[in-house]
Amino acid sequence: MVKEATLKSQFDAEELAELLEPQEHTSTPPDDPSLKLSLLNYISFMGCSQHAYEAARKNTRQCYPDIELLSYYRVARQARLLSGVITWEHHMCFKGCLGFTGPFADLEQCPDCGQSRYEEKDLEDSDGERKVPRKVFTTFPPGPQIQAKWKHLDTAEDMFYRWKKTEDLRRERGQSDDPLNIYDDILCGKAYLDLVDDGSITEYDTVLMLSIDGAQLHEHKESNCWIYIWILVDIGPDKRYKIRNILPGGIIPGPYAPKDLDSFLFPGLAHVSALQREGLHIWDAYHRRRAISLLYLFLVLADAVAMAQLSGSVGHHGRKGCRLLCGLLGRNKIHGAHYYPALLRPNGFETHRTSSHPDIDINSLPIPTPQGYKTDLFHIISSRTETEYKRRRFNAGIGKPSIFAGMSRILPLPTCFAGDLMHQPVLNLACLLFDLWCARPGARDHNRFTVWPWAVLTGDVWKRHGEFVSRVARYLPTSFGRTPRNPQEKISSGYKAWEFLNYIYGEGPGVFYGVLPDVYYFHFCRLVRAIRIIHQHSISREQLATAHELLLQWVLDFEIIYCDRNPDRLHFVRQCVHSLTHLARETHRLGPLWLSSQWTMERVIGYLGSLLRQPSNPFRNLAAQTKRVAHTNALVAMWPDFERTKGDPHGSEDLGNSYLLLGPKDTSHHQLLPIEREALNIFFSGYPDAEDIDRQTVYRWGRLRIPTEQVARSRWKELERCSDMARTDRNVKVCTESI
Amino acid sequence: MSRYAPSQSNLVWHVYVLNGSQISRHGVVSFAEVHFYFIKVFGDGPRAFALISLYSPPNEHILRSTSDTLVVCRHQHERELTVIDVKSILSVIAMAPFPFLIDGHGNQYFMIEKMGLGVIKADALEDNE
Repeated sequence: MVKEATLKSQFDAEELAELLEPQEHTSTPPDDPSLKLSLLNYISFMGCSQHAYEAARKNTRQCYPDIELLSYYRVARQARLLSGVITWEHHMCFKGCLGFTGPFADLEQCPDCGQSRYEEKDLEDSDGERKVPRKVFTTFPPGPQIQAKWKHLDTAEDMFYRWKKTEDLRRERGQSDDPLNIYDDILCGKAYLDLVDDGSITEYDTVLMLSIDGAQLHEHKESNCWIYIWILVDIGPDKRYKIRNILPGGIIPGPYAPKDLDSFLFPGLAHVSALQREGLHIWDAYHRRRAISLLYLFLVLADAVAMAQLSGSVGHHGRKGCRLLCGLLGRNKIHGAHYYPALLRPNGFETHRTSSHPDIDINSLPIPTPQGYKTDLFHIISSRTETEYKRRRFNAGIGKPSIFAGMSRILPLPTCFAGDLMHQPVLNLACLLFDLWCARPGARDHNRFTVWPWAVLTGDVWKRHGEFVSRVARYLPTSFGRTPRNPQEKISSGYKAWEFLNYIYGEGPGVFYGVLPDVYYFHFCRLVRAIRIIHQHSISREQLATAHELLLQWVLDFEIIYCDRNPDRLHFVRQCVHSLTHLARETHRLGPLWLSSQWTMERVIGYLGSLLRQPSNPFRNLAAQTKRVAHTNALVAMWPDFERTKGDPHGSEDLGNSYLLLGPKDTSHHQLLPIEREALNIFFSGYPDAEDIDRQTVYRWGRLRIPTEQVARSRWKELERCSDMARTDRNVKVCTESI
Repeated sequence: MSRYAPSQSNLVWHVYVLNGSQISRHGVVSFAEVHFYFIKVFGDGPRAFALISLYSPPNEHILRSTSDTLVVCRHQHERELTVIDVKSILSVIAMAPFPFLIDGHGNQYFMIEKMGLGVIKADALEDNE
């Protein structure tokens, strides 16, 4: 179905005309000042109620009677027309089973649960004439949103980042097939460069990532919903993940989890599929010419549950449960249905029915391949009986063809399904480690009386450790984001991924020193070292090799020092442990994995959540706010002037190379102390042309912004603050040129 | 001045400027507390400096035994007061009190760097919330 989609069947005549013939765009905003002011207010009042917009409109009219601003309804309409962004609403099952799209488009009842598609009362009252859908989901087709990105000189230049960087990388690589020395973007990954080499991706193509995740809008489960977005790889990593450059994809209301996710993604994917074959017409404002852009769907990002649905795999507890579909054989307990990716065969498993295979060599783990996937899938769909299907599904780890198999321009399945740096090594692994260290019920084995040497985070030790962690918080600079709360009190109640990241991989080696027994502590440090490398913005080839070695060793050691071939402890080896073995290889394939992780989705969900106004009907409101974000993103792309980025703060001093001195500043000469004078004397005596420099007095500055966009403060200003809770931003890492 | 070479401790890094092009600097890494910043005017224009106090070099034994993850330094207060060009500042880090005596000395701090520095920058839009 996805394969056969055409643009003509998706848009009405007027929309189609606009999609096929994007007009050259004058880069001045609309000439009508009252229209411009209306739009500016519409954009600036994002996240405020309609009343705020109407109030500003009334106030303007009171002072300037000549200026008649558009009503909220009309400005929203203008925003839609000018941006060209289109919104589709499709009916869905009231219980969330499926969307009435594709093969289900003509049904009047859900084939799964039998719920009626339309309001029954309306149907009855009107003798079946009035069909009011009981529930709808929203799709924002990416085509028009991408067109908007090309319509202004500046944004079009941003879109050219990918091709510019590609040419740099190809020059650097020359003729050789050697891997690059530095990985600092998705474009450095082998997967992308191979596609360029074989001509699959060229200058004007649009390279997309699809990211989907469940979101809880409020504290109640009733507000669960599913959101997906498109991320443009064409834009540089410094701007790619900003809200303004994210393309909303669709909103699927809850609270019931979508059972047939494919049917909800169908409208968006069919649209992309059509653009992959027919091409997207764009007006390139940078080179001032028309072009045709073929879409390429590069990666699919999702949390584990959604990913299993999208890739058609059996899920993480299956015998081949790795989400990358690498095919590693798991082992199950004697009477257990859940499989664990343990490399070492537990004692007494020599005659186990399904898990008797010998130890697996960590240096020859299987890697996911398109050929293997194809063979397995063919095998599955050619099953003749239910029993045969079940047996083959069990052996292959996949249960059905993926909806993405219908896409023509996508990384070959299953390599288009990415791992996730946020869930697996951060959230899931943290959960496992604390299950073990705190001896939480999630990890307890059969024999409740065995003493675990690593289970030290209990009682007073755990309490003292928690207090230590909360004391450390105030020493973390503000640029570190959310500081870890006291884990002893908060770890099981909504500890956030960001907190875990700072706690385990940032503070970890310091706060667990002298707490964990030596063997377990040094083992943990090796993990920290590797994960820190994997999270770097830019990773050198040597560092990646180091990380790979450490991670493999860690996984093997984990089975030795925690599980000890004890069949009762097989459940320690969760998929998150196995996922570590993929991290370095995946980095080589896709560049730094943070750039293709669910962190972006997490932030988008947070942002959209903050815009919500009407908790009584959160889904409708979410769809409306997301629509407004889509319109605004397109308008700002077309006229960047609509949203001025902030200039340098008043009274700052630009030093070049992205260093900027910031106030506060001394208003009169500061007389240096003798030891300070001494330091200046020593420094300037060896400094060129510094004979005439005053070494007695200075004007002090309080803060400095550096290229990492962090702001370093100073002892001078920080010690003046009296709050105990204030964070510490005055410690820096310094590099002086080698002598 | 106390220093240690990054090549030995594996603390090699690469520095980025905002347009994405890359300068890699090789030199000596140290950790410091900034007292204040100041400008001096030279023939070719103003240049900015920082008065800092250096932390001691990291304890080699702890560093090595923890796979280069635990960087513990002593705070030396005014003893290591020195001046640097502000452009040699690479990043803002945390130095948190380390509640153990090392070789009989207290006043120890351990260093924490920001994870994934520079990848996902604060969104100007979200700052306003």
